[in-house]
Amino acid sequence: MTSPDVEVVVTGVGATTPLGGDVPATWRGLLDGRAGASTLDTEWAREHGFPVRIAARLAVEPDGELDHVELKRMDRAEQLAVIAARQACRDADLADDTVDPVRCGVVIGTGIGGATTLVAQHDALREGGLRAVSPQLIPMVMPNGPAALVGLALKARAGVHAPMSACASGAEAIAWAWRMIVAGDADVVVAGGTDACITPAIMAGFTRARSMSTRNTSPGTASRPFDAGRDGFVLGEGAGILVLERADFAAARGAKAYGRLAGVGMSNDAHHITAPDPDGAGQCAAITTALRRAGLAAGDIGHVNAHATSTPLGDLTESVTIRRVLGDGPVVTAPKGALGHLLGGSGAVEAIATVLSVRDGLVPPTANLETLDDRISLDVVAGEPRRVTLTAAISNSFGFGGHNVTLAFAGV
Amino acid sequence: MSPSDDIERTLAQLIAKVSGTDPVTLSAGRPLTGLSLRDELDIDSLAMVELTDEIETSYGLAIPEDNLPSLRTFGDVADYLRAAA
Repeated sequence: MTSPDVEVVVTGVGATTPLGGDVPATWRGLLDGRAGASTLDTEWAREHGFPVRIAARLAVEPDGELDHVELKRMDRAEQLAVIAARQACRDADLADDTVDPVRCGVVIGTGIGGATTLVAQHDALREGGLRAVSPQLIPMVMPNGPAALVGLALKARAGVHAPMSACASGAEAIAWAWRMIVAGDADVVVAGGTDACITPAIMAGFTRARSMSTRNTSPGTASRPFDAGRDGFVLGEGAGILVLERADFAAARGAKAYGRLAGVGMSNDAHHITAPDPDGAGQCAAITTALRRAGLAAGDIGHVNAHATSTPLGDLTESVTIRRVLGDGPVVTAPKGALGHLLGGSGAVEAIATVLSVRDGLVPPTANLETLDDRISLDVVAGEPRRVTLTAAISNSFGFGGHNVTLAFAGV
Repeated sequence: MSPSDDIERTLAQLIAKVSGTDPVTLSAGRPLTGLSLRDELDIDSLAMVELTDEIETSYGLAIPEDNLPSLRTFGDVADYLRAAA
């Protein structure tokens, strides 16, 4: 499949992140290079002597956005997806009768899903017995819960899907949404990712895997992608949702378009359950596939929104991949310096940042990048946002399990 | 219509707490008793378990599971409570 006849545009965006409760606040935070991480001062972290005391919590709690029944019946990851989806649909002017339900789809991925609820309900069972467990537990912990709830709200009948590829889940959801529209299965697909699992068991797991930064004395500078002093990622929480539409459908209803999702590429390393293939072949395949499907050449890509999580090995591997496929021309940024790692939410929030970069010709700085790792030879933006005229840009997302996803965005 | 007694008043509050749909507001002049739990008050099968828990806690009684299928309207539950309480 190359340069499809059907074009896909982004007509609405929504997000709730550690930088802000919506897309404008998140985008401002990214442009300012502001870090969303802070000290995680919880009883459980103290009790178990967690070496990691940093997390990027939401800037705006969901309780102001949802009623008491929604809050009670939805896991936190579901709550964030629903909030971001409502914003995106409002932004796209998607009314109840805008699209025939049988032509409307939803694809929302999650990396971990309802872990916060599962852990809390397990505690409730141990302490209070069976009656203490909510009958709503299963729809709260099932990984397709966020997609199903948004699908219900939209009465989407063209298909509701929940891809799971760890930290690439949000990007993979957008890729599958693109495929649904290009294949002719839907005219409108609401897509993105969510995660909210700053919870003891998950923090413990990442801690035991030695994946996270322990720069506890300076949480705001802990996530520092591509920096020589990086020592791991910072766990965050958040969701991002995009409204994707067939371009002619959007044009016919007079919808504004932020940009085009021109092509997508997905691959797998088939190398190791958590470590990236140091050769980067899988990542290269995702990028080249996205470009081929978008009908773009390497030279068209003026900007890369990198996956770079601030881990020593991951950032280095991605830098080699980007340089191999695209050379040293693209202006690169790594939003996780500011956002932290939103797991399943990352790929979607970063896709939104990428399409805004293309639209505005503005690339946010990589927060906390002070000294570029001398093994990395890329043009990484640091300090201030960079003005650059962009024809097209890509957003990379990679996940445990060897998943690689590249989304290629272009101007309208 | 307004609740006719304390049992209806309490039941309306418990339903609003569980499903977010207030029977008194919804009824808009109609008798509360005829409101369908599932179709009008958003008490689906999962919410029925929550409502049963709330009622059992409020009234200190145990509602056998066999009785649940016969409780279809606001009035069914109110009558059940009047008989049991």
